[in-house]
This record gives sequence, structure tokens and C-alpha cells, in this order.
Amino acid sequence: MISAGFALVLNLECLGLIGAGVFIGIVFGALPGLTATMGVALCLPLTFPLAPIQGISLLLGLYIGGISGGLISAILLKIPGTPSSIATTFDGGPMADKGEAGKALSIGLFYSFLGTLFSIAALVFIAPWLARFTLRFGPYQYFAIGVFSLTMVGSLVSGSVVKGLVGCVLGLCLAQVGAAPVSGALRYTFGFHELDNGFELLPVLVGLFAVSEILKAAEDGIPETGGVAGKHKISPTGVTLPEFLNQGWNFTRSALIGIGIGILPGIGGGTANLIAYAVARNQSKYPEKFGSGVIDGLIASETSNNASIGGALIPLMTLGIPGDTVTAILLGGLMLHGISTGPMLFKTNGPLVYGIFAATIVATIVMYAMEYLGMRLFIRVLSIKRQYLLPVIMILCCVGTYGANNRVFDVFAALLLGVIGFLLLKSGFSLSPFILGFILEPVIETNLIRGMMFSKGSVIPFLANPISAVFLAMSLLSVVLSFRNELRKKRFSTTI
Amino acid sequence: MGQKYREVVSGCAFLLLGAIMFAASFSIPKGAEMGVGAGFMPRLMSILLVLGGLAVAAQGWPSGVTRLEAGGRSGNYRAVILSIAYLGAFVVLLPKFGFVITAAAYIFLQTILFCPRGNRDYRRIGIVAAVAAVAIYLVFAKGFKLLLPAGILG
Repeated sequence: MISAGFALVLNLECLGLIGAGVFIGIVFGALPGLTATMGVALCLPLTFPLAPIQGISLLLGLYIGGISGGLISAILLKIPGTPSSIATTFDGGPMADKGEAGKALSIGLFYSFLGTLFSIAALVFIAPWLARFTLRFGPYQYFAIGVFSLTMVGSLVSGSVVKGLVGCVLGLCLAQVGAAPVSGALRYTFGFHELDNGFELLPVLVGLFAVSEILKAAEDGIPETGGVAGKHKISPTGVTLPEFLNQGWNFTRSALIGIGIGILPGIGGGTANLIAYAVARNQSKYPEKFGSGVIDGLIASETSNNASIGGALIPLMTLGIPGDTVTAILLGGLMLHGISTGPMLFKTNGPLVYGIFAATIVATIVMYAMEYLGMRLFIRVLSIKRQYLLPVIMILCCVGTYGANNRVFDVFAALLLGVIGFLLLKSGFSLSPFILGFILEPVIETNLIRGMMFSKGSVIPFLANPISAVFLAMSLLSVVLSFRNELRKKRFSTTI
Repeated sequence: MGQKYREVVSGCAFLLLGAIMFAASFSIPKGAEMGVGAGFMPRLMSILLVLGGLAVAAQGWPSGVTRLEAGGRSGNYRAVILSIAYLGAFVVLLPKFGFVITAAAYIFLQTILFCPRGNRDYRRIGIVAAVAAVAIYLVFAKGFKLLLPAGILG
């Protein structure tokens, strides 16, 4: 069947569309403020006159290019191109500061490639089984997974457990502005109708990571030698054989996290990279080096965000449930061509399903080749002096923020959140728990409300269900252990 | 301002914000759902924010009030305030003057702010700002059909 799938895709039209999709996706992913979701949404109308497999090939190219393109600006500018590459900035940025931008880009690209291939293998071989398993998840389990994701990142990423958890709460509070899930009651809008739908993810992301970067640059000043100029040695893998073998478990674990999180509806690469980074740091023999430019953090982030691609396609193909925003648009694209996804898809449209698998594999290979060959060009563009580059990038961010809904209010929101993000950074807070709290609030609140409705107001089922109980126990454990480690470190530092 | 002092200030700010959110949460309509209402999560989060604010302030308290940390050079806050003002002006003037004019003006002013005083090539910065603004407009408004405000250029 897979050979029939490749037969559908390996022709000039499909290969050309995949190439075009990957290229546009990389550009959208690499430029802060423009996301893979926006690229796919903007190009969706272009697929109308195409055959289903051609249209889907273009969109898949955009998706894969968009997710992996985010690593370029995350490493070279320390501004994540997409939410999926937030954790890439933590160690990729410091590596670039140390003059290892070429190595960081090579590693990021190589592990993006491996992560995507790993997740496609999962998609082909274990998709139906995995989808059936997650189908059993109800509100109790989703609530517990949301809380677990939040506490993992809150307690492990920021360096201070209290500040990490406060960051999570701030993100949760921000996401509560606007219509409440389930009931639709308006909250904290104070009569401003622009707030009725709450804050969109893109202005929040642009504000916290791009505007705050501009303000930081204004405060610190930009040295004349700034930018990422210099010679960057790009290699196909970025790692030596011993490094590759050493990172085997980190890669496998991060890929599994990416696939697992990608499968869950509403939680995609934006969450996966932060969780994988937090776990890699927690399980590392040298957690104190994370954030200073170690390859472990970079590998965890780039593997997991790309692995979430295959993960997000699993529920889309097998259940008809999109795993993230891009797959939601992909679902729309399939429906426009009269294709209904779900359990029957494998029986009614078998060749097309395997054509989609083949297109995903081809797009991954094209993404790797295109980014590898074009990396010097990307570096060249981003090597322009930061004095000139940052204001232009800020304008691109504003275009993306405005263009999503054609609202000036969203640009204003990005500015306001940028100032808040800057003040938080100045006070020693990490922005990752904040953004994750914002992303996960609807998942947590909606499932809490639904769960309470099922249980008629009782919280016991949240604790009695084995899966949710395990996740909630792990949440508590991660907070307690992180507090203990922090206290130990404080005691140790006061005794020396 | 030392880091510990900042913790006291930010902790107090979270405490205040949490208290305001807690008070405001009582004006949220309960909504139609059974069990917990639409105000449940905001109330819970505002309580957690107050507790978190107290914890952050307490972290900085012992050394924060009695001994301000030395270290850390003071940043260029004038440049920060000007950057916020430029972005604010861009947002306010965007609908009236349109994308090309406001974007070019923003890029010009922000780049001047980033360049050291003796090293400001105004002509070069002006050309970069104009070309970048026009190129971005053409790519997104004409190429991707995004509805960017045209303003007085119509």
C-alpha cells in the first residue's frame, strides 16, 4: 500500500507543490510573527483547483516547513519563529552567542528531520492502536494532563519553582479574559468588545518574545559587531558519532513526548517542546548547564516539536479529530475535497491515506535538503546588523499579528504584553510557564467544568481515575521534588 | 534596582492584581452550566496569584528591604521608553496614515535609536526603512492578499 502511496506523490506536479509548500513554510516559520498555521491558512484557497493529493501535498509541505523553519530565528535571533521553537531559544541562542550558530543550526535541522521521520513511522505503524487508546480519554484525563504539563514546565524550566508557578498562573489568568468555555459568560472584558473573544495566541507570542526582545535590545544597546555575522560551519548532522550515541535516549524520549502530546487534541508542538526540554533538563546529569548552550536542550526541543507533526496527524487520520490548529485547517482542506477522515478513511480511501503518508515522508526529505542547502542564505539574511534587522522583524510581527484578524487591537495587545514580558524578565521570571499557562488554560478549564458536570460537582473521579490519578500524582511530585532541589541548592550555596 | 528588591515589588504587584481579579470575579455571570460557574477558575486563579505574589515578595524580603543588591549595570531606560512610545505611535497612527508610512517611520526611528550616536547614517537608514516598508506591503498585501491598512495613500 505504501508503494501505491508513493506512486501517487512521485510525479512532477506533487513534487513541485511539496517543494513550494516547504519553501513558503520555512519562510513563514523562520520569520517571527508569521506561523505555520497562518501559512497553511493563507495557502488553503490555492488548493481548490488541485486534485486532493496535490492540495494535501502542498499543505503538508507548508506544515513541515513551517514547524522546522522556526528553529532558524530561534537560534540566530533568540526570537522563536513559531510557538513550537520557544525552547530552542534557551540553548540554541546561547550556542550562537558562543560562535556555534552553525553547529546549533545543523543539530536543530538534523534532529527536526529525525523527529519528523520517527513520528511518521509511528503514524504508519501504531496510529490506529494509539488513536483507539486516546479515544478512551475523557475530561478527567485531559484535565490531569493539562495540569501535569503546566507543573512540569513551571517547576523545572524557570530555575525558581515559585516564579515558574506564578508564571503559569499569570498565563492562566490572561487566557481567562473573554468568553468563558462552555457557558460563554464574559470575563474581565470591562466593557471592551475587542476583549470578548479574549487574547489570540499570536499577539501574546509576539508580545512576550518579539516586543520584549526589542525592549531588551533598547535597554542593553546593540554592539556594532552584533548580529550573527561570521563564518558558520554547516554540517549534515552537527553532531559527532559519540555525541549522536550519547543523545540516543534524549532523542527517543523527546520524540515519544512529541508524538504523545501531538496526539492529544488542542495540545501540539507549542507544548511538546517545553515539556521535552523540562524533562531533558530534569533527567540530565548536568541540569545547571541547561540554558548556557548545551546540545541536549536543543535536541529535546527540535526533536519533540517535529515529532508532534506525526502525532497530530494520527487522530486526524484515524478519528477525524485535529491534534492542533494546523491539522484543524488540514481537516478543512480534506473536507473541501470531499474527504471525510475517521476510522472509515482507511477502508474508503486507502490509496489516498498512504499517499498522505508518502507526501509527509517526501516533504520531510525536501525540508531537510532545502534547509541544509539554504542555511547559508538564511544566515546571511539574519546576519544583517541587528540595528537594522530588529525593527524590520518587529514590523513583520505586526503584519502577522494584524493580518490574523485584521484588528489593530491585536497589535496593541502585543505591545502591552511585550511591556509585561519585559518587566517579568527584569524581575527574573521565565516567559515559558506564562505562555504555556495561556495555551493550556482552555484545555484545563473546559475539562474541569465537563468533569465536574459528569461527576455532579465531585472532585473524587479526578483522583479515582487511574490515568488522571497518575498524572496528578506526577504533577505534585514534580513540584515537591523541584522545591526540595531548590532548597538544597540554596543551603549548599550559603554554606560555601 | 537589585533583583531582590524587584522580587518584593513584583510580588506586591501580583498580590494587588490577584486581589483586583478576585473582586472582579464576583461580577462574572454564573452562566448556564451545572456545577462550577464561569467565575470558578478566575476566583481560584486569583487566590493562587495572591499566594504566589506573597511567596515571591517573601523570597526577596529579608535582603530586599535592608540591603539593596549591588551589581548589574543600570540599563538605558530612556531607550526602552522611547521604543514603547514608537510602537505605541505605530499602533495609533496605523489606521489613519496606513501601513507603508507608519511602518517606514517606525523602522527609521527605531533603527536610529539602536544605532550609536556617532554612527547614524540617516540617508541609509531612511532608504532601508522605505524599501523594507514598501517590500513588506507588496509581498503581504498584494502577494498574500492580506488586508493591510492603506491609509492616506489609499
